[in-house]
Amino acid sequence: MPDDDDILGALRADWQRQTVDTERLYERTQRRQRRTRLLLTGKVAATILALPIALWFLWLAFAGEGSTFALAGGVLLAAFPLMLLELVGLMKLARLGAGASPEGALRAARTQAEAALNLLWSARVAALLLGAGAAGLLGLHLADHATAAGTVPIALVWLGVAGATWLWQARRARQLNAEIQRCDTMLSELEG
Amino acid sequence: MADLRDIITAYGSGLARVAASYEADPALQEDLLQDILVAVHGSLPSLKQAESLAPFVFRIAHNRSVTHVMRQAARRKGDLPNLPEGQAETPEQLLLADERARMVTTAVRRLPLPYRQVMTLVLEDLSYAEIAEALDISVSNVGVRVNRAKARLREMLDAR
Repeated sequence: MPDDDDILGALRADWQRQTVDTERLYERTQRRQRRTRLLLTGKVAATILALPIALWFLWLAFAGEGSTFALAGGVLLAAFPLMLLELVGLMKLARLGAGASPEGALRAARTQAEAALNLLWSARVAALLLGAGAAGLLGLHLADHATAAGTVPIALVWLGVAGATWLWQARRARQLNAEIQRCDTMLSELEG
Repeated sequence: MADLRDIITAYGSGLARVAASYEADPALQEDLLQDILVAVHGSLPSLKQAESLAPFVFRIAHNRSVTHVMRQAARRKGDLPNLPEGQAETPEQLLLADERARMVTTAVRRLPLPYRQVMTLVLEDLSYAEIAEALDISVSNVGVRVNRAKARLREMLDAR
């Protein structure tokens, strides 16, 4: 009967016989690195710009430039916490690297998922604001008030975006709950 | 060693094997492997002089892999991280392996998480001290887990 060392030696030989095409992997990883940098830059830019643009819209609305600016400013302002959290989470995850054990990495990911779940209200508020704005515009149109040309298509676009945002947040909530559940299972396995 | 090509040459296959121990789907395996490599490359400046490279690299691999499994849970309707055996085969399979090698990977993937983590590192020739450093557990704990993992693997492979 083979002893433990023989078994381990045979397993190791089989295991290590699996290799990768390093050149192909290098090219694909480089592409991935570029894509990751681009994504992060885009998210940083969008998050940095979102707050001043929202405040500018609200200021324009306050200065009497129209309620559309108030709505756009409100929606952007409502979505801002979630954008910021997503960006912070992405940067934290990028830095997590070797700084933690697998348990630590899971705990950090769980905290991030919980925070995202708690902040989904901001997506719901943004969807409700857009929906209310669209309903208001359609209401004015249907009541035969004089509305600008193109009001109905704009209102329908807002309504569509509101509906999509609502569905997205519901799907995201399900995903985040599943992630947290899976994380707890793995943590209890590791703590055994 | 800060060049991505050097890291891939030295650890590419080992990291691919670790990724395969967490993920059965070849496309997601490659996605996870690239994620690990980008993280390793980005984390190299934080490598302390006293630290050895292998535990550092494999710690990142396991950190990324557990969070990958966590995130995939939501997309898979249920919490089984693995596809049924055989479904993962494609011409572009990441790891070039024969049937026996694939059988070992499948068996390792079926180990409970704590045993799987130590076993992948034992199979990558890391010492118990290096495994303890990579997973942030004691050396004696590594020994216990390795023995249990070996027993489980033996059962699984004998049953075939």
